[in-house]
Amino acid sequence: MTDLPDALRLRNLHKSFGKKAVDGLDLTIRPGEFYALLGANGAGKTTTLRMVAGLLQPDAGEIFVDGVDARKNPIAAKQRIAWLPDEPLLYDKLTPLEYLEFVAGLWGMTAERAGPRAEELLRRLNLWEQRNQRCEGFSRGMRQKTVLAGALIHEPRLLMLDEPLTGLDAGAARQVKDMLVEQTRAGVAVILTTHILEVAEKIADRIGIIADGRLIAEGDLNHLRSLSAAQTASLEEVFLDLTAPREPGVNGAAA
Amino acid sequence: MNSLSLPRLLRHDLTISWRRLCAFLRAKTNARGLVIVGAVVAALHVVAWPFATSLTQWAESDGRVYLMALGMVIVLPWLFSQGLTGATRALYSRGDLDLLFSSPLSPRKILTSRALAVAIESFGAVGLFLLPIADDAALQGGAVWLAVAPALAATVLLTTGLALAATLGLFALLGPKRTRSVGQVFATLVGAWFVICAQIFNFLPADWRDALRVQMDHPAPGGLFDPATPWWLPARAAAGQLAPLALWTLLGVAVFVASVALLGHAFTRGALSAAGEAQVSDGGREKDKKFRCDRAGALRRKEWRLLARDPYLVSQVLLQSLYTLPIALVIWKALGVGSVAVSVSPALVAVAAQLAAALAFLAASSEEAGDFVATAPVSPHELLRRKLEAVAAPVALFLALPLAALVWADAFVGVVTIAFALAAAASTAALNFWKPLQNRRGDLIKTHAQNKLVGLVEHGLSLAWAIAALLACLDRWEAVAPVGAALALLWLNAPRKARAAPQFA
Repeated sequence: MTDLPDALRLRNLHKSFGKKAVDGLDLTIRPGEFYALLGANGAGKTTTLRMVAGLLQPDAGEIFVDGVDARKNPIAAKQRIAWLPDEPLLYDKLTPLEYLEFVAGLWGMTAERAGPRAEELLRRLNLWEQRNQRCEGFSRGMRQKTVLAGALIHEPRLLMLDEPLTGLDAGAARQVKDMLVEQTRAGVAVILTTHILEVAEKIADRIGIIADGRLIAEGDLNHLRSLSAAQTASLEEVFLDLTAPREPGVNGAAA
Repeated sequence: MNSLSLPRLLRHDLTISWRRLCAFLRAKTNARGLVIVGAVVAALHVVAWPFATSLTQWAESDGRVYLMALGMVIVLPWLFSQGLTGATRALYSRGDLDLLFSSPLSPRKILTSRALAVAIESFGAVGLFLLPIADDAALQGGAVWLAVAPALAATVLLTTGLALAATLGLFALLGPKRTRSVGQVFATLVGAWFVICAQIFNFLPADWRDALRVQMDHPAPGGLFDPATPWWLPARAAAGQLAPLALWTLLGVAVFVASVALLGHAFTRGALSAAGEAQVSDGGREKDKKFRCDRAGALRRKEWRLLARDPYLVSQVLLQSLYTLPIALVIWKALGVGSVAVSVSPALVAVAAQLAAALAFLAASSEEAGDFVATAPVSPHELLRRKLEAVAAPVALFLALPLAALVWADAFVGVVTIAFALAAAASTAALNFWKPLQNRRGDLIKTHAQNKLVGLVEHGLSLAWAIAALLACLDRWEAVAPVGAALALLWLNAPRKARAAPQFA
């Protein structure tokens, strides 16, 4: 594992929309690691993920995906990434199978590899029966699962998920969480943003807390507790404590 | 507590219609919207003045009733088409309908309000063009011309009532899924009738027209051209004859009231099943297909599948093809017998331009997963190239047969037409790729929300290439002028600096 390049390495990343959205962010995620990126609304989580996915140009800084400089070689970097936005982006008039065929084509997979993989994913996500049904009548959960299948079909090295559990029922949420954990076991790095802190608490290897575009704390839950006043608290309490407005100089601990 | 009264409900519906109009006019405030509408109405009164002069002179010599009859032949299908579109939208637009149906309001009250809103919108859309002419004619030829306004209002009520019944009839016959597509095509066909009617008298051979004129001057009692027969009631009403106007108004109101009174529950059932169709249905089902993954093919296939499953496109293609018929007929009539190939040439060029524009608009502006596609390891240039290929293929397929027939009929005209059709299609497609309007595909289909300026330039390009094709077919050097105009339009709309292709994101 140690010989492998970092799945994601961000150095001094900056992005401003008039106001600073990401402000000198440094972040490293190792292969097979499950990383939860937490932050209040507008903290800079989605902007960070969009820059890594190639949807936003950073103002400054470095982005390396699986050892590839994403700013110099975006196509090679994109080949290794899957990005799942909070709003499932699907074609209403395509079926799940047609959607997966399209995604597999975009990532240049062979039909011999993509066909069986699509079947496996759709079966795992309980969508096989609906494989030839147009997505226009799908519920939010079904759409989310279809998009997840699209993200996994090309076997990415880095999987970035923005609020992936929104709109899923308990069963589907469990299914998705299990699949994500499986991915990390297979060496895929997963970075997830979520407001459901329980998910981060239970399955993340490391948790990063971002505020005003800066990483203010990072580590496993025990480490985060040690940074907080409440030593035995839940992640929710730790998060609220670390992100609460403070007098200058009181906070600022980062692992 | 009393539920919302009909006037307040109607005011709510009209507020929504007004806001839609303001959005269309890009007016951010009501005051600005009013100023724009006022300016448009004033400008139309100015433009209508010479037209009103001709009409008042014609009415003096040939009689106002015949003039109004001709007008009604055009206006009735136009209004019916407006009513069909409005009724379909009322059934399928979810918006606040769920809220209204979950409230204690009676279905009849909801339908009455919606139907009145449709009628007022139709009156506005058609009256905007007709009433300035009638106002100007009244200033020049007397107040009797003002009867056009109440006659139009009665016609709107009648056609809205009939359109509502027709839509709900289609709904009962075809079910919620097909009604919207069939309704759109039907409204398009009815609307196209208006364009063809506007020219129909001009297309008739001279001896036919003379014969018609004799019939009109000396109508047989009880015959088709006898203004005393009931068929002439709307024309006599619009001509300002008081008793027919009262009767026509009564008829309009009666049909409207009967429709909303009888169809209230059918409307509720229809709207609920339309909602069910949108939320619960399995959409279309497709067959198992062989999994194919080549990148270029995947990009093209995706576009073709989405285009093929687009009901709006069918009506769009039909409409554009039908609208070119009068153009071809007018040219054929002007050039004389033996010029069929030359007459068809600009029509085909216009169809190529419009079809390519429609396809490119959908492919470029309604990329539902633009952000997702932008994360794929594919260059923006390749995405653009594949989208262009995907657009070109159906245009070529649609026009292949008529173009081949044209080459067979007249090789020179055929080759010239192919060249200009290619140029026209490429230019309007490029325009839509350069100026995409990001939206959800469904929203684009519902609102036809193309950028109005792009739409205008698109029509300008179609017209310029069609005129150029005609002049080139006639071997006239003046063809360079419209070609130059088209190229200038393209240059003005091209991206200002060399940069990456559009991201579709």
